[in-house]
Amino acid sequence: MPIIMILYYMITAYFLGMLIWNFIKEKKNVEDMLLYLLVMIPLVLRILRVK
Amino acid sequence: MSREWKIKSIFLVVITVVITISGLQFYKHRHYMVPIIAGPGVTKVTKLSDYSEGLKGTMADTNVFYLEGKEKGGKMLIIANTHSNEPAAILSSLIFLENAVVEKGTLIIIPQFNNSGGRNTRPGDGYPLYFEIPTDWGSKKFRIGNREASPLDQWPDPDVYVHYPDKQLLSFLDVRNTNRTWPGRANGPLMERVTFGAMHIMQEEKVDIAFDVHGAETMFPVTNCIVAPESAIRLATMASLTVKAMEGFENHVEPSPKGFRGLSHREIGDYSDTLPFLLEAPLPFLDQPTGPKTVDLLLNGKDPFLLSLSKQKKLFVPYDETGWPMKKRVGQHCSVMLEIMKQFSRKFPERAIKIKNVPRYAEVVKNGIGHYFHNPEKAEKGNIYYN
Repeated sequence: MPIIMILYYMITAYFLGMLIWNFIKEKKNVEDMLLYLLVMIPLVLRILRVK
Repeated sequence: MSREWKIKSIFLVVITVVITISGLQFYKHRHYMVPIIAGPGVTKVTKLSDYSEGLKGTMADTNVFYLEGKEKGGKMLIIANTHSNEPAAILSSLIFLENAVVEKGTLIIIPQFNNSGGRNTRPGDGYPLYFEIPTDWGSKKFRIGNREASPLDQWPDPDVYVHYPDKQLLSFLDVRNTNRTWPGRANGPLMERVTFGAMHIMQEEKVDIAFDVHGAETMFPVTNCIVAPESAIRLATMASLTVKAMEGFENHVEPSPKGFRGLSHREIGDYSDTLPFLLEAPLPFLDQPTGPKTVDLLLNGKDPFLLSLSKQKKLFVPYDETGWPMKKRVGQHCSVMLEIMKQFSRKFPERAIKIKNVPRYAEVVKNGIGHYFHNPEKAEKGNIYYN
């Protein structure tokens, strides 16, 4: 796997971590909670090398 | 448990279910293997990575089948699934692969050229994941792939694709399109390594004629045609006139534009001695103003919106209630390839190619495509190649 591809996976993991952190931190706004999870879907699928 | 975590737990369960269901479908599609049965004419099977080392161990590597005749003659190459969402290509190449017997010369077939693209999906356009062709023994299942290679195999895309070696600026997506990356290079992006492998085959094997088999929208002018550069246009014209007169279907000739780089019909002719032909059959599934992208639309090509547009003369092909069934498209491809081969053999008798047992248009339309596919359960295990 080329180095640049590895860097992209690291960036994906970083954004996924940020989304999880924001999801945990969110206390009241239900729409935002759902939004964080929806945005996570393609990132999870990419990290698992599924899509 | 607090109210906040009750809501979060419900959301987490729902999203996990969504990821699991979609993820499993995508994973199964990417790893689904199509059984390809080497017919009586196949004498050798190699990998494209034997000609382009940079493909070794990647999802872009693919099988190359050789059908060598007892008598020496010319050489012909069939490339299918350059765009894996244009399945008439793989279906017609498999008819050759599973049935052809070469009497003179050599036939080389790469049925899944953009192997990574064949494992890529297009959920945003609502593409189905698979289609099945009915056969005499059941049905044969194929993946519906995408026009471009999967980003899992080649990433990231550039802002603009700078074509090698002409430096023409192309769309960023075309860096993953194996009909824009010709002639390719050994150490370029993965798809350039794919086309480099095919160029290497043509140069090393001294291939005389090469076919790149496609499908195109009915609303696109370059459809139902043979695209050929200056060196090959006379043969294409002769074949076009002959199939119209003898077999009753239209397949006009389009000249390969000199200023549009990266396409097989341009670069193969410019960078080798091989005469290239790109074949297009109408593919209503690719048109934008259609109903849902269903398997039925892919196989039968019937769509009420296209019918309405046809009545307003907005299409570039004849279109009526019968649509454009797959067997017509595959039959056309088979006949056009056989006819170009025949015309070439007449013009260059010392490099003639003779192939038997491949059906022409009328036979494919009458018997159906599946009639020419062999049952993997009854085939010898050593003759089945899963990819």
